[in-house]
Amino acid sequence: MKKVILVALLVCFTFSVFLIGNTSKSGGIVESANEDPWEQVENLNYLFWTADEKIENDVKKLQLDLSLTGKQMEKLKELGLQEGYLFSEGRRCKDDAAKDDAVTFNQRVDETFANIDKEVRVLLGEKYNDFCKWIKTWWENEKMYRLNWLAEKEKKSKEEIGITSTDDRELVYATQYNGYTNLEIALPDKYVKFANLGWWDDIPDSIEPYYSNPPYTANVYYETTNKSVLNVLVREVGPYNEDDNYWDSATASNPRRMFTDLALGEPEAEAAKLRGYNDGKDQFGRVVNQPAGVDLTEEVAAQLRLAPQQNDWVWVRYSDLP
Amino acid sequence: MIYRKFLHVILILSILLTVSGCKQDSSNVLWIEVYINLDEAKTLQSEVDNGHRVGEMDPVQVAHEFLNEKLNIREDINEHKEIKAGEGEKGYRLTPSDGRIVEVILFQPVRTDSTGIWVVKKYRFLNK
Repeated sequence: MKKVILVALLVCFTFSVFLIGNTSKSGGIVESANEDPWEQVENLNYLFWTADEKIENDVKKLQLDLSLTGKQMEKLKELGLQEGYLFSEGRRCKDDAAKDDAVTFNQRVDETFANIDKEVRVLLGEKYNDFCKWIKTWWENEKMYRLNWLAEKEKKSKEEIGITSTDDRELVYATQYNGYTNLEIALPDKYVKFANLGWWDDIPDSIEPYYSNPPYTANVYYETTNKSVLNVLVREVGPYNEDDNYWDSATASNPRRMFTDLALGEPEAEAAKLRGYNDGKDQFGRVVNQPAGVDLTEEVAAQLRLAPQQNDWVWVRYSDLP
Repeated sequence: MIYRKFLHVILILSILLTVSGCKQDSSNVLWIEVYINLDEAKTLQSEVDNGHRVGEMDPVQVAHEFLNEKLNIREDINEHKEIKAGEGEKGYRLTPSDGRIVEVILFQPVRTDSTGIWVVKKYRFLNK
């Protein structure tokens, strides 16, 4: 009798171990399906659509390291473009009502990237795992490299400027958008736009005196091509934020309104994307996918010799801004 | 005595007529519907989701832009006031510096939360 009980217990134990093993395995699978395998969203767009020389070499290295075909590289580039145009759909459902809108928004972003991930998985087949590892390592290196590169560039610029001019320009990542006019830019300060359009009723009385001398413009200079666009009107708000007048310090006469712990000239979106500042989110709680500090219309970008949809780091001179 | 009562009645009636007449003036002005291209709205929502055109999430800015871009009213906007609108809608009365008064009603065609874009659904001029 004792033997029977012992055998039964052993069988139960073995069965339990088997069950636990299976549960943890399936748990592992679910977890990896939910999380972003590359640990950071929208890296394909940054990798394939930034005109920077170092990043263009990184793309070549990716192809060589993983022996990817030209067609696979083209498809990855296309997916990088799609990253920017996929998560618009979806109405608030009953279950979402209690949730914060930004949380729901970020869940949609995750779903979008999960779909892109599926496509990449199919496209690369057995090379998919190596690709994920490659992207993770590349992004960690790129973040470090870019922060050092920015610091070096700014330092060098300040040394040169010390002799010739005042310190009123910043090197920021430029993206492209469809503007109201051909020749305009967007900066993340809504009151610059309001002042330029004469919407005085929308500027608080305490802030209005600082914005009383429109039109406000900026100069954009692209070092790679040595091309500039001068006196471009700030006509729209963005990228990402609307109260991030990052060209003003916290103690300036027109003080920076938000993110005052960031360095002068560092856009919040840049800090969010490259350093995980504010949990990697913008002032609305949305995930930041590009380290952008200025948005250019296609015409402004073209005058700088940037191709449509292409992004890169440009100098913006803010001396005319409040 | 009867004459005074008659005068009072006339006075009250004229006040009532004036008040109701004023109300009718505003409510009788027809709304002009705006054609919404849903595909364009979705594209714009995508742009906003990716950090561009942040002002599209703010109904006041969208109302201002509508006057500026669609109605070609480039004057400074002296005042805007929120007006009554339907569920899921926003309404504003805007007063440009040229003295015109415009009312606009907006709604969110793609996503109805704080990250959704607003577009003008209809508008009317309360004076010319």
